Amino acid sequence: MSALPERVSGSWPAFFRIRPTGIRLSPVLPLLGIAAALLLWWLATAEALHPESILAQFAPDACFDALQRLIRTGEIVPHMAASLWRVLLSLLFALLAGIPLGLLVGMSRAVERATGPLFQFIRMISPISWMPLAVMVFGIGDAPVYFLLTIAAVWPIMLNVSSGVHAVDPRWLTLARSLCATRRETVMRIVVPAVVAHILTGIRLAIGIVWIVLVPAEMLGVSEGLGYFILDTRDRLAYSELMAAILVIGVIGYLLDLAARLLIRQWSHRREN
Amino acid sequence: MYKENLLTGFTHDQTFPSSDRPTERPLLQAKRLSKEYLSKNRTLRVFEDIDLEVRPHEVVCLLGASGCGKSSLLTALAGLNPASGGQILFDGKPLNKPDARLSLVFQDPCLLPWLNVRQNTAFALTLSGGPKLTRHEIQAQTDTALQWVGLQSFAHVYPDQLSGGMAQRVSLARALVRSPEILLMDEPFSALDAITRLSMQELLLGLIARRRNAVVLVTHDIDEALMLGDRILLMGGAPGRIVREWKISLAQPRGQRLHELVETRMAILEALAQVAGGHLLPDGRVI
Repeated sequence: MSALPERVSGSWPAFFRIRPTGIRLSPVLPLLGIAAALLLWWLATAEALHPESILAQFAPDACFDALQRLIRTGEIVPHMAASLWRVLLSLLFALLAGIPLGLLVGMSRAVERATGPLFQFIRMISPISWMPLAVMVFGIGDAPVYFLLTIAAVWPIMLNVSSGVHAVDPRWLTLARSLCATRRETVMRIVVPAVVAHILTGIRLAIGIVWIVLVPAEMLGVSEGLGYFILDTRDRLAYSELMAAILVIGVIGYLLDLAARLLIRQWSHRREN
Repeated sequence: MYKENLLTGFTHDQTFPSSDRPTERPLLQAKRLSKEYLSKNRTLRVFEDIDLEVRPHEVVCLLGASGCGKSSLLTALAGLNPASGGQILFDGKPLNKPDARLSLVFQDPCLLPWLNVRQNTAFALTLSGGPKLTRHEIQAQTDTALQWVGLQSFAHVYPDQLSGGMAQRVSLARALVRSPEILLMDEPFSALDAITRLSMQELLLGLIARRRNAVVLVTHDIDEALMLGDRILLMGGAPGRIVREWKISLAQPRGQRLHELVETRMAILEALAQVAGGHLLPDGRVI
């Protein structure tokens, strides 16, 4: 007989533990969480509870009405497309800069030591704080937005790649040497494939950061994008549309993260399939 | 996980003579070879005064306890780990870096997990170090190498789906695919179970008989050395030196006739007891 107690996970008193009896609750739990959030939202803004208040414009029913109208008329679609295009392009720039930089830092101890403190210093500066500088250097328009998004995305990619290079099995490098591989072949045929999982993780982290930085970045004098649309709805006092835009931003962010997770999973299971 | 296929496809009806070719020019030579490492401001000498010759088609087994420097010697012979003193000659010319005519087989199969069996086997052929081959030639050579090790039907399988023995076969195919003149093997079967090890030894014997490669095999298993070697070199001491040498004249295959080598086995055990001391296990293996 085992000396261990049968249940070791429950340090909480039995009173607080949720024990689904007979029903599999796990698939329903996320929906329950969303329903609870909707309820709280409604309680905080419902016209019935807050009569003659501006809060009613932020209520779920007003928000969903506005969202339906925005989608039906196609008014929000160009803003969504502009934002997604900016994210995509910035991720591409960040990959083009972050992967070679990460490989260089990971493979050269001298470069790593020379750049380590500098990169950690720059990484800790919020991308938003570059905004005035970006406008001064790049002017008003898309360019400063791309700059801000790229600088936000490059660090997770670069750091993940360099840590991936450190994790490359040294036996693979010895194998490459024993097979007379050139330095370029060792990098392209051994190191790069070995760090693909780290690159994908970096992309997932970068997507999260870029999507968060996107909205304030799009408030920099552009005429399209979800960040611009938020400012526009505020200026037009269209608060139900503002809430609809916030909802759209959340949903797209969630879907982007889901896509990145699926990409990582697909890559991990590719060999087994 | 696929199970190890013990039928290697080789029948050992052909015998080939053991090394007795004093007049043949050595393929690989080490002259007064030594190796030192600098560790915490101390010089650590791994091996010294190694004089070694490997002739074409000869199987030389380097036997010794762990830490006697036999793996370091093998990597030095492979051109991966430059020696501190002495000289290595391959085909009469100094060897200072890896050469495509020498192939190294590691203790661990060391397969690249993102490549399947065929791609792992063909890896060496796709590098610029070797001769320029067309895609068709690469495919043909890879198929032949996979056939030698009996894995042609597993070409599209990935390393994480292979058993230990099958993975080691792929590593053997990868080493053989460039038709090297010498195979340098660093305890390639030590991580395998006894039955798989025997099957791999038979496979290697079949390949040597067919391919006529010279082999330098590092092992700590006396029976493996007796089964495979034309010559057995015993390394011992600190720093490591070659202390004894035995020539095995019994023709291959020896699987059913190892009892005829009992006296040699006893002599090796006695010599090992002198140089390995506490490292000697009751079954004759050394740690």
